Amino acid sequence: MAEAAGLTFAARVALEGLALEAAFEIRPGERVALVGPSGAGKTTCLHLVAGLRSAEHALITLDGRPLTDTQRGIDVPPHRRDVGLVFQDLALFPHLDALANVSYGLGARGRPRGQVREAAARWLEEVGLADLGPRPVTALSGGERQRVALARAMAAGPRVLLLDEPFSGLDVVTRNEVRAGLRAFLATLTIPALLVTHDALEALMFGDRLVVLEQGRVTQSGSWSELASRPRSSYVAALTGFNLLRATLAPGAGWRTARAGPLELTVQSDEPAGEVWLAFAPTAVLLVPQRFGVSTRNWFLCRMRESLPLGGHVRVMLDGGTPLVADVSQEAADALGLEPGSTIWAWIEATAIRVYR
Amino acid sequence: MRPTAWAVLSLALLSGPAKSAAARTEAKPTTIRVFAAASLQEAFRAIGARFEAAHPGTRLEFNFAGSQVLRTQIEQGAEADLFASADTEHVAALTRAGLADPPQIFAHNRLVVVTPANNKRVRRLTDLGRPRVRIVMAGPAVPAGRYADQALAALGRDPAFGAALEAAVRGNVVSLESNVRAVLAKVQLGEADAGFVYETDARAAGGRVRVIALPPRAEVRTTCAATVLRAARARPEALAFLHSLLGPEARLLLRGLAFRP
Amino acid sequence: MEDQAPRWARAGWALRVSSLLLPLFLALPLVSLVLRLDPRAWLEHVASPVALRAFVLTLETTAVATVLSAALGLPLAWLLARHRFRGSDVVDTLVALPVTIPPVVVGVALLMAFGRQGLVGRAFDLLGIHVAFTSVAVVMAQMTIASPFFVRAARAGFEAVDPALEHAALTLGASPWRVFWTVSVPLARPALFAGLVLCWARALSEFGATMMFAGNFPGRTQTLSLAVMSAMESDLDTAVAVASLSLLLGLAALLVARGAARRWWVAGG
Repeated sequence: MAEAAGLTFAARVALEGLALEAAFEIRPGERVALVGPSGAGKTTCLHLVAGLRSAEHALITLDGRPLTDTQRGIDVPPHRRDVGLVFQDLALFPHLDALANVSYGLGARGRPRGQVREAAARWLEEVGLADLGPRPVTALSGGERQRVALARAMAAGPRVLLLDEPFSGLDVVTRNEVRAGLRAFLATLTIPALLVTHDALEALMFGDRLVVLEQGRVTQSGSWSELASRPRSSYVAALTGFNLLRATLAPGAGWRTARAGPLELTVQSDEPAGEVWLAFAPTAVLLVPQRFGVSTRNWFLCRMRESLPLGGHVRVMLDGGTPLVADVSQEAADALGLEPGSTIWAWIEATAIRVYR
Repeated sequence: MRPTAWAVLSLALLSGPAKSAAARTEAKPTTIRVFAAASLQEAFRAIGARFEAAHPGTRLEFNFAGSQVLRTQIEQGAEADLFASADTEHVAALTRAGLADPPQIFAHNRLVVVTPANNKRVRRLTDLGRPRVRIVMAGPAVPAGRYADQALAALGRDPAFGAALEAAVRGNVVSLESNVRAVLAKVQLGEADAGFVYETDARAAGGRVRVIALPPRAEVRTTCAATVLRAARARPEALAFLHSLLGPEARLLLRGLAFRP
Repeated sequence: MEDQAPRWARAGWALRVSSLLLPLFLALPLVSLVLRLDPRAWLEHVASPVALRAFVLTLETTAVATVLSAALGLPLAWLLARHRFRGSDVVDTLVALPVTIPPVVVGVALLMAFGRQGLVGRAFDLLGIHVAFTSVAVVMAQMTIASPFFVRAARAGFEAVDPALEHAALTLGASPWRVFWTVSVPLARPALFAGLVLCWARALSEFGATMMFAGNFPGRTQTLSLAVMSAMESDLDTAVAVASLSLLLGLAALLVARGAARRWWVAGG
């Protein structure tokens, strides 16, 4: 029988005004996104895995070794758990430079100084910050700091990587820069990774699998397509009701064309030409009986397939050469008089289309 | 019961306003500021009470401390009407500086050794020289400290005692306090095995300390002197108090407290 | 539009006058003290055995008292800063108490505890250990009075360190002991140092408790403060000269603290 590997998590704990009760597993190399609205208890789960919090009832094992087992009275202290955690505000040591920060975990294990510095320097290279070792962390940009935090966590040789809302502290521009890097990095991991976020797109980008935490309970868990096609709560539905298209981006900069199957869309991006993902919310799709305006850009004639009432608004599944999802208000749906099979014009707001690799 | 209670109550209530009415017709009381050595506390309070009763319209305000402290305060300009020291030296110094009238001796005292009531370490005078005995005395500028120094020097010259014993005793001194009452306090607390204080202080401490008298050759007869200060605000009243201090009633009182004539 | 003129120049005369009153009030006695010094006799007085012994004793005892206060106060300050345990309010009040009680009263209390008839002193006496009237008593008196200042400053320093940093260090594999010395203490260093200086300064100026508990004996328990008092009783000039020594030490403490604070502030902490 193969040794149980990866992370298993099951806990019950009372927080302020909330009862958290959740369970999930992550296999080695798998990336799970823990998604949920703010205050759902996501960060608490991370802190439980890291040993920074205790619970009334919990069973947490890593590669078969119990980290927390309240029944048997086992509670391994955080510094012996081999858990790597990237904090929401990064928690970089302000009194140390970048190299010293990255070396911290190794140094704590008592390795000889020369070895430690070498290993740390290699990790800085790995995240693309080779020359920034002697720089004090307070002098680094947001994106650079994030990478140092990542290198620091990884350099300590953890058996599971936890990331707490890694992009929340960054501005939009930096966020886009760093996202690609992190995505590529996570793809190389052989250890389980758990990423906490409240942003649908991040969950989408980084998770092989999603675990949705609402009000302290796991409401649904599975792959993106599973959640999108069969949402079990309105939150999940809103979360996954994203349009996601694979497209080829034409060369150029700023306003350009992206071809997604039969659809040719105008988007705004500075990404290099090639294969990209296009993502836009169902609310970015406008449905009207007749086309209006001068431009023909982003106008598509679609056939309606089915509609899903979602308490206050209606989700309309369309076929415009490629599946599209639009959210309209109940009044609009009534006014449009949509029937399965009927045709309708859909206009996709160009500025709401996110382009990424 | 009740009628009597009401009667008493109304009497008490009425006497209040009556008293203040009487006070209002008199002049504001003259305050006599007296700076006196710590060892004179009980004596002066008693004499003072008598004086206030005999001289309505006067009020005595006391400041008790080590004589040297009071002298320094007066030199630095503290306002006082009368100064009483546990020696003549401090008063004479003020007289020489033109700050006070010549000293008037009003009592004498005697230096003794006291030990805590239940102390087993010191029973006789010679025990003072035993190892690890803790002795407390007043500092060199305090009259009581000077007297103690005198007594020790005399003991050293006494063949029954000897210079070696004197040295041992001096070596056992662990603290130099700033007034004689502080010495007494440390002995009373049991912190010190023995201390040099005035006989009147030992009296004031009652059964809490045991007294060991000094042998005749080492006896120190101390002198208490008082004076009215040149800058006294209440000069006539202060002179009156000094006069009463030298009078027969005061002498009787002092005698009763173990002062010597 | 932001006025670029320096603040002082813009302050009205009422503000200027009232804000200068306190510094004036504080400076006047000190200046008077210095002016009273006789420059020729100063060296003689200061080099006298009484003054030298008091100076050396003060340096020794305050150093020991400060080091002990820091050693015992560091873990306590960290605990108070981080954990809300059941008795923490009690401990907090206890540590703050000596600051509010008159030092002489503290001295009496020390006697009640460690004196020959004292609660603990009784046992000491049987073992042949005597504390009162020794230099140890001086250190104890200074510690009782001055250590709360260190604990308060250190606690504030630790509270200002983001707990997330300590958590991060733990997850990276550092033991709590290592986290304390490599993260908490370095980041709290300016506050810790300020606390040390404050503690030392307070120990320097200690008088009432020392006099009550340790007594007053040259070379053994007569600190600078006690020496000034004793000198006052016989020779004002000696007293003023010894007092100036005290003043110099206090000034030195302030300058050291100021210099360190400036260095750290510039370097970014």
